[in-house]
Amino acid sequence: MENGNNQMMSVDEPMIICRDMNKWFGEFHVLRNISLEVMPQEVLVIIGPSGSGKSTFIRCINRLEEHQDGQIIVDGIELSHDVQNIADIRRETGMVFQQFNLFPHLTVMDNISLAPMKVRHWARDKAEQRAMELLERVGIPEQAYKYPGQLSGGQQQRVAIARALAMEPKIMLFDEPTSALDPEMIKEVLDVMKELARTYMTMLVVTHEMGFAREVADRIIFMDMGRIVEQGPPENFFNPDIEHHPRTQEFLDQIL
Amino acid sequence: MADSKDMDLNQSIINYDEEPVRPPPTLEVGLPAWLRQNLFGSPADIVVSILMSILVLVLVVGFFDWAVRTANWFTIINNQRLFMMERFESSMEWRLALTVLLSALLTGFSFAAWGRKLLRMLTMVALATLVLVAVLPSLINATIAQPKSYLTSGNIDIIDRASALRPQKNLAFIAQAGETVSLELARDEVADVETLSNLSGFSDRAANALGNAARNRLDQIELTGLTFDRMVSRELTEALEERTRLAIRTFTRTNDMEASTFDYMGYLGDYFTASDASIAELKAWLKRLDAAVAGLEEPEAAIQAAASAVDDAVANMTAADQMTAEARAALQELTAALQSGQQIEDLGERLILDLSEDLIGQPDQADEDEDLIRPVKWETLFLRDMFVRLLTPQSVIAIYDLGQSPMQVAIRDAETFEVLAGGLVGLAGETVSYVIPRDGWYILSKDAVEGQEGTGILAARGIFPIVERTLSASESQFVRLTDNELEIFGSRPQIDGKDAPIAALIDNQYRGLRDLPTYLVHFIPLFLKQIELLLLPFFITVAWGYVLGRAVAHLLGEQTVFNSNNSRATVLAVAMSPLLILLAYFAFLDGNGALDGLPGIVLKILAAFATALLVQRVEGWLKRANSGEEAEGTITRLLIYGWGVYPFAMYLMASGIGGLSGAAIGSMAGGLLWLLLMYFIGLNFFGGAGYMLLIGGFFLQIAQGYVINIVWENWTAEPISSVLFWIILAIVGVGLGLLGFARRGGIDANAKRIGYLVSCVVFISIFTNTNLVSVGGDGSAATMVAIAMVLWLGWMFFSGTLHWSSNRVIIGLLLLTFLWMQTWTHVDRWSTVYFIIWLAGGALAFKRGEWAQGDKLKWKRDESAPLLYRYPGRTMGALALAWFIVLLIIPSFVLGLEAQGALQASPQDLLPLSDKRLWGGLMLTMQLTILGIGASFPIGLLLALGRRSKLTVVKYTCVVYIETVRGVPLITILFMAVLMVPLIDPTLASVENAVRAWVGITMFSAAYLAENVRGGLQSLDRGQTEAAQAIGLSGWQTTLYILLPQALRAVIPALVGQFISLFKDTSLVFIVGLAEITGIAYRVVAQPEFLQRRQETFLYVAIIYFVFSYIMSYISRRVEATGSGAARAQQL
Repeated sequence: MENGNNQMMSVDEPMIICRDMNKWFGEFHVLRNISLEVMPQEVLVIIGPSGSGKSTFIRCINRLEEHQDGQIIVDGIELSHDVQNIADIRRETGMVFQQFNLFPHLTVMDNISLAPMKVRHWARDKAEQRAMELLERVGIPEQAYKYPGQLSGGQQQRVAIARALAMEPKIMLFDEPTSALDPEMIKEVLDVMKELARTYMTMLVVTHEMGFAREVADRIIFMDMGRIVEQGPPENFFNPDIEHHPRTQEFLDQIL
Repeated sequence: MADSKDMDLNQSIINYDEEPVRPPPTLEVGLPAWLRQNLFGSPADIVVSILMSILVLVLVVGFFDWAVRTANWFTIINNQRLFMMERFESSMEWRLALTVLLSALLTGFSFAAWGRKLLRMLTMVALATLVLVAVLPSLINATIAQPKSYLTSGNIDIIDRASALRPQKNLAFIAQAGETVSLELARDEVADVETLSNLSGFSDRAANALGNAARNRLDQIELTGLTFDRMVSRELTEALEERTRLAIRTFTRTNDMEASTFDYMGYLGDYFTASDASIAELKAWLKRLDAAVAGLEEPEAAIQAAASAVDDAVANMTAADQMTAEARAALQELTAALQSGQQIEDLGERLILDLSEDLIGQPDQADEDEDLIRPVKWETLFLRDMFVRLLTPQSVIAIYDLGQSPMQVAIRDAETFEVLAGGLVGLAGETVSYVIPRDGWYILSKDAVEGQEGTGILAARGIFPIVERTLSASESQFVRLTDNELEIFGSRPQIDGKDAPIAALIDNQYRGLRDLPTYLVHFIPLFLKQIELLLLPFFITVAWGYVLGRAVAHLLGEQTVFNSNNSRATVLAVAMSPLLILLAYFAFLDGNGALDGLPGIVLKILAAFATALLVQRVEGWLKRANSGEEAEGTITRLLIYGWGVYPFAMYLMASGIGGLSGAAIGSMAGGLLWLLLMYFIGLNFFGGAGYMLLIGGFFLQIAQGYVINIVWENWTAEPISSVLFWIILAIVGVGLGLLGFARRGGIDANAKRIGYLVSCVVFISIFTNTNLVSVGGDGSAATMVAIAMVLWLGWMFFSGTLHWSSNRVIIGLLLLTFLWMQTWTHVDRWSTVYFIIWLAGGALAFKRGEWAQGDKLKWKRDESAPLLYRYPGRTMGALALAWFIVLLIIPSFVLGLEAQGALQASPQDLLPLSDKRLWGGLMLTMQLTILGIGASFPIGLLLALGRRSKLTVVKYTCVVYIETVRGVPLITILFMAVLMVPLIDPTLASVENAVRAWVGITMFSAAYLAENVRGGLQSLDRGQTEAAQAIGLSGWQTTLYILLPQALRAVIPALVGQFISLFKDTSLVFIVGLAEITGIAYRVVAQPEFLQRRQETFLYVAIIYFVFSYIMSYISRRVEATGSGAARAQQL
């Protein structure tokens, strides 16, 4: 749990800083005054009911969605309209999607090695070697030359994680990575994520897997109606003896 | 199962070990199952199958009947060149041939990379073709006798419709040594009109006129008979109906009514078909009538007498089988009278009416029906014959007295006119024959025997019609129709100072029906000869490309090949051998007939088998090693470059390149060597040493350019013409820089920046209409350099990380060069621009080399590395040496020429520009198609992306363009491009129609392609873009690597559909006066020899369109099934 704080890295600087961030979809106020700091190597799990804005929130961090007010600073770089900054931040953040979003026209190997080659200008040999290492890490090296369409959902999601890791990001964003999977396959993906958490990766995870949250998270954030309602370490969050916000309590009552 | 009483009712384990494995029922596998499932699955299926096979059978039989018996394939064979390239200058023909062979080579290469299984199958087809074309013509000529050729002789004009033809006294023909020419009087052929009418094949015009006249007579006899039938049938039908009614009334009393009714109906039918026996009888009658008629002298009175006699005869007619003697006699007289030409129709009609009245006037004799009807039938036939005879002209045989008089013939030497053989051919079957002593022209003289009048048809063997092909204004080629082996160039023999007449092919000869042997002799050898000339080199080149492709793949990627003792030599030998076969083949073809006959056939077959064997075995000989995959990638990449360059090569070869001289090529070679050298310097030196070499190279190159440019001032009268050459140089430079490193992940940021700088300079130079580098320096040029520097610096500062070291050197060098060049006095603007492009290419090559340094270190000791990289030091040394030699030689070469004054005239162009107004045929179709696709695809792509752009101006420009063009028919666009544009801007009138049509087609097609691509883009999930953004790809990278590949794959069928329709739409340009292959078809059917031969011509054109369309659609299906498409297909 306390894995990050006594390591020797630059822990004093937060990896992600959000200050009074607001976002609207048209007239609809999706995110309201989100303020949050994520420390390096921290695993942050975001939970909340559907439509609470949690996905939108993490998508703002790598600028898949644009925030309209407030500040987001990732690894010291402020997200603005500056294209160069956006590119730099995206280079530092990996993202895993609910629907995997693998590139169906490329082999698993090419899916993973494309970005290092095109964005980081690695030689193909190096990129493929790295891709192979990552595939071994997520446990499916034998699938390297297949196309995504030939893999099961769990395998696809593991490839997606490998693809995100290939850019050697400092931050990993997970947007409900297990929601589209069969129950049998959820475990294999969660195992990969747990293994990742053990390597001190900074992770933001939107999930409904409470077991995972309880086991891996350093901190849990509960969001509702575009606001952060409550946050705390998992042992507190899931402790029925501690007093929660009524909305949190209602949510917890329903899922536990 | 034995313990079943203890069995749990909810769960049971069935012991299936006891069930034996059986084969499926016989009818459930193999052909029977297939037939049942696919053709005879249900009643409806059975009906459809049977109906369809009947339909197919009918169509196929009908088609072959037409193709063999009626069609005139000379329409195609003789116009082949026209179909292929219209009037394209024959001196430049080799360029088109080379383009075709290049496409064959690339096709073979493609098979090596993508379609090895298919190639094996095609090899068999090619093999069969090879054997066929080599063996069949000789076989046919050996086994089937050459048909007789019919020639008229005599001194009587032969009248055919409006023209009168006098048989030629002399006729020039070509014969081969050893052949026998024989002549006799045709007798069987003129025995009767039917045989005469079938006189077809190779004959002269007069003989054809005779055949025509005979055919016309037969046609008219048939027509007159039909007229008679129409006239008489009404009367007879009424009479018979009346009788039938009577009979029915009579037979009502009996029980057999129905049967007798049927009998009457049967009689009724008899009236309209005369049996053979009765026709024969009538013929006999006619002969006797003829004889009688000849003796008549007073027609007028005879008519009267005959008419009354007929009346009497009819009145006396009994119900007997035959006409009375009086009636017969009367009819004879009548016929004679009528023959004098008076009141024919009136009398004929009266005759019939009389007869009918007589019939109708005897209704009481119904019970004697059979007796009544018989004479009616007989008489009708008789009268019909009379009628026909009165209204049809005399027999052709009789008119010209064919086959009656002997003819005088002689075979003469064409030059001396000396009689070589001669004599009388006559009724007794005398034959004149002569064995030809040497190849060449001979003259046949033929005439009636002196002092007599007469016409005869000669049956000749060994004399064939001749095709004259005009090669140029002064030279012609003469070929016999039946074989192409003997070709004679030069002019015809002369008689009395005029060209001797020859029997040229005329279409009429094929109006009759042909039998299969005639067809085989006439068309097959010629056709196969054309295949041999056109397709065989193509086939062999495909095979060569394939073998070469495999060899390249192995050379590039296979370690085993290098490790074994002599395998590289083997690979090279294998790769080269089909080339040798090809060369040998051409050598044989040019071998002046030395390889005709058996040895030639044997050699051709051996060559064919050798090629096929090679293709079959190449995989086995060049064993695939583990690293094969990489080699496949390399060869595929080479192939993509190859096909990418092909359209340009095709166009440039056809159109020519202005200003491409030996010196220009030498200069380009020097440039290429320099680029390679720069690359290797980049590859092999770190930091300062590399930069020093780079600077040195730059200065040497500039020095060379300086020298050359001083000279160039004298001979670049038309600087634009050298544009292509320089652009090619730049493309090659960039391509070279990328070669082998594309797999390392595309262009890196630094190279991009250099490219950015170069394009800044180039575009500003081009678009600013200032004399960029003029004599003694120009302020505006300095301004341009300043702008370029500002743009470059801006880019550098606004972009992220940068390897300053080498970029500084390169950018500095480029700008320095640029400024320095301004001090030159002998450069024009264009050559400066290209010089800069060239230098930038070198800089880029250097950068690529530097970038690949990591790999170099690894490769230096690696025996498996590609050849070029294994010994970088040696390679670089060799390159440097070669470059210095070229660097030193070219300027001195050029200067030397100048000193000799050779450069005062413009240098010899290697590929002079062709006249595009002469483009036509398949060549124009292909140019329009390939260039149209090549240009409209990228434009369509950009339009599609533009339409989805967030930039409103771009978006709506694209929308307006697409919608406007899609709303206008292609033909309107073509008319505008060809007819209206010159009105709007007169300067455009000098642009050739072909180019304007190409622009029109491109504009049109681009709009449709844009919509197709947009459809593909819209079908993509938003998640793809997000994922691409999330891993850091830029907008263009996302489009290029993620969106477009998927979108294009999704719409391959639509895209290829558009390509195919573009291909077919090129036929519309014939409306604006361009003769692509459809236009040629219209011209061919307008030729006098092949007037209205539409079926053959358009069938041929349709086949050509189909073949190319099908290839396109086949390729599209193959492409769909590659990569992720294959994975998807596997899954399903």
